Amino acid sequence: MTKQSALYELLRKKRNELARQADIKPFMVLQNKVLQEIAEKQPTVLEELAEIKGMGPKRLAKYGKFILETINSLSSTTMPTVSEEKVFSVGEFIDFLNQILAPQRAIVQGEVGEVKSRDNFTFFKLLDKKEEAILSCFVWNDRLARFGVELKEGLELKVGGYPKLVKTKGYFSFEVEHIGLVGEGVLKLAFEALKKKLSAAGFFAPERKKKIPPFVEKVGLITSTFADAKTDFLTHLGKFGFKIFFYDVRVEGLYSTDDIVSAIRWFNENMLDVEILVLTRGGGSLESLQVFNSEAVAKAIFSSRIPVVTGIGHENDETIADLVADVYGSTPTHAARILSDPWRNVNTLITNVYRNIVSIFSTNCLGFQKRLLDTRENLITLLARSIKSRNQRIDDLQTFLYSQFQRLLYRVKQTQMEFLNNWGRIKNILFSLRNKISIQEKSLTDESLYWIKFIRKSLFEFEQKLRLSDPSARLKQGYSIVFNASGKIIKRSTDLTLGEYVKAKFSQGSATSRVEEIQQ
Amino acid sequence: MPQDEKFDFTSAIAELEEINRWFQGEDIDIDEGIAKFRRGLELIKKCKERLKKAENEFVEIKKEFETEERTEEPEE
Repeated sequence: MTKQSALYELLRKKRNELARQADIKPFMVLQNKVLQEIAEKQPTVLEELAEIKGMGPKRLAKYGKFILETINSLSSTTMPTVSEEKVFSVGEFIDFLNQILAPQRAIVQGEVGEVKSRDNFTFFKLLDKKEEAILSCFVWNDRLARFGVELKEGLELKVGGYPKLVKTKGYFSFEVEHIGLVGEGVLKLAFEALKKKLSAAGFFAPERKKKIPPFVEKVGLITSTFADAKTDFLTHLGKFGFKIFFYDVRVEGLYSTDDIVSAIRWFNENMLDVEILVLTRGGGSLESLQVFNSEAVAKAIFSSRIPVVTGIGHENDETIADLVADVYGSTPTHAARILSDPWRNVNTLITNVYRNIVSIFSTNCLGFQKRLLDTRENLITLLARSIKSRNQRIDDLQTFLYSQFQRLLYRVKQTQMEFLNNWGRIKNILFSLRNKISIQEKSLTDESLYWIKFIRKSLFEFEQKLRLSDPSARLKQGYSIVFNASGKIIKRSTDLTLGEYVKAKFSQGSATSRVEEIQQ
Repeated sequence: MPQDEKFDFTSAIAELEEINRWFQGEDIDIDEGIAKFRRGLELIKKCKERLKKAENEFVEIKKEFETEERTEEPEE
């Protein structure tokens, strides 16, 4: 390990400690990039430190002294040193040693020996058959689960990690942070096993795949700065106003899994408006593409809320990442075309739509015009027909009325004639009636005259008779009439009573006498 | 789509395709046809304007890897 990288690791560690103490994110103290530059230039005074980009006056005042001390502590010798007189406690000494050992990160390849699994850790030996060397290793079980590698005796492995003295046990061990398989055969088997497992878990199910918008604008690009894939992708993406957010990751090696998982997670946590994530790298051996066949990356893609497009390796390379991805691009170039082709073709589409609607619209306008004209013609014809039929009806009505009138008139005349005819008859009847009346009248007059004569004659006769029977005449002849006191004519002697006074009337004068004697 | 609303290319294209389909249908109402025709031309104009904005933007994400701190000692 070079002095520069040792200094970088040391600065990082101290920086993280400061951040934890202040309860802020490490980059808020100092960014890795700044630390890298410090490690590279190794300034010895504040003025030199101030020249480094990212070291503003505030940071200089806050961390300047601490940075220079760290550099100095490493400058005297590459390793921490102590005076020979210093006495450590055991714990202090082991901490001191671990401080030296921790930056010695390395990747070691070997064959797995004895494997023991405990609660949180798995212990295993890594063997070197040629040299008969043994490295005791341990790995946190949660990390081991992430790699998707089953540790078995005889398996050839690459492990990444750092040496460590186990404080409580006093032995030397290697803390494994990453595991990679070695050998095409093993990798193929692992690939098939993972494919089967994820397929059963529904990771490749078409219905679980997220749809990508037809016209993507915001793209999250996950690849390595140095990869040809990045250039290929950007070249074939064309210029369509894309916004590309590039997240630099390692795309090969034991540490690339963490990078890629973090990148996918980062976009999902910080930039959900990115419409698509592009995960890409160029071609390589099965071993170099191992990261894309890892369960951790598969899970990260599967749980990403942003759809993922892959473009990994050559045309024929199939990776687990490709199978899980929402859209599979066979190469970086293909991935770029998936995003850019819709933009490339849309001009044609727009032109077609334009032509189409203009032509249909104008055809329809002509159609409307024609229909309008036809309609006008139709209306005029209809109107004319209607007027004509009305005229006809009026004519008919007139004729009808005239004929009715004529009929009425005829009937009136007829009635008049009938009346006149009848009138002669009535006149005759009246005339004969009058004749009859006058005859009757005449006969009545004649009869009445007769009767008058008759009545006159009879009356005369009556008079004569009456004259003859007049009592005064009798009296003149010498007869007298006797009355009693009450004026009653006495016709029989029996009507008289003795001593009664009676009156005797004569033709001239009267005399009263007393009854003396009655003879019957 | 009101003028002040952010122009969304995807939905504009979708609407254009819908208008196109509509025009291919039978019995086109003249008033609706005029409205759709105008809307189509407006969308086409907007889409073409968007297509003129060709240059891509490129932003590199600055990120931090946080180192995991594990303190438990492994016991075999």
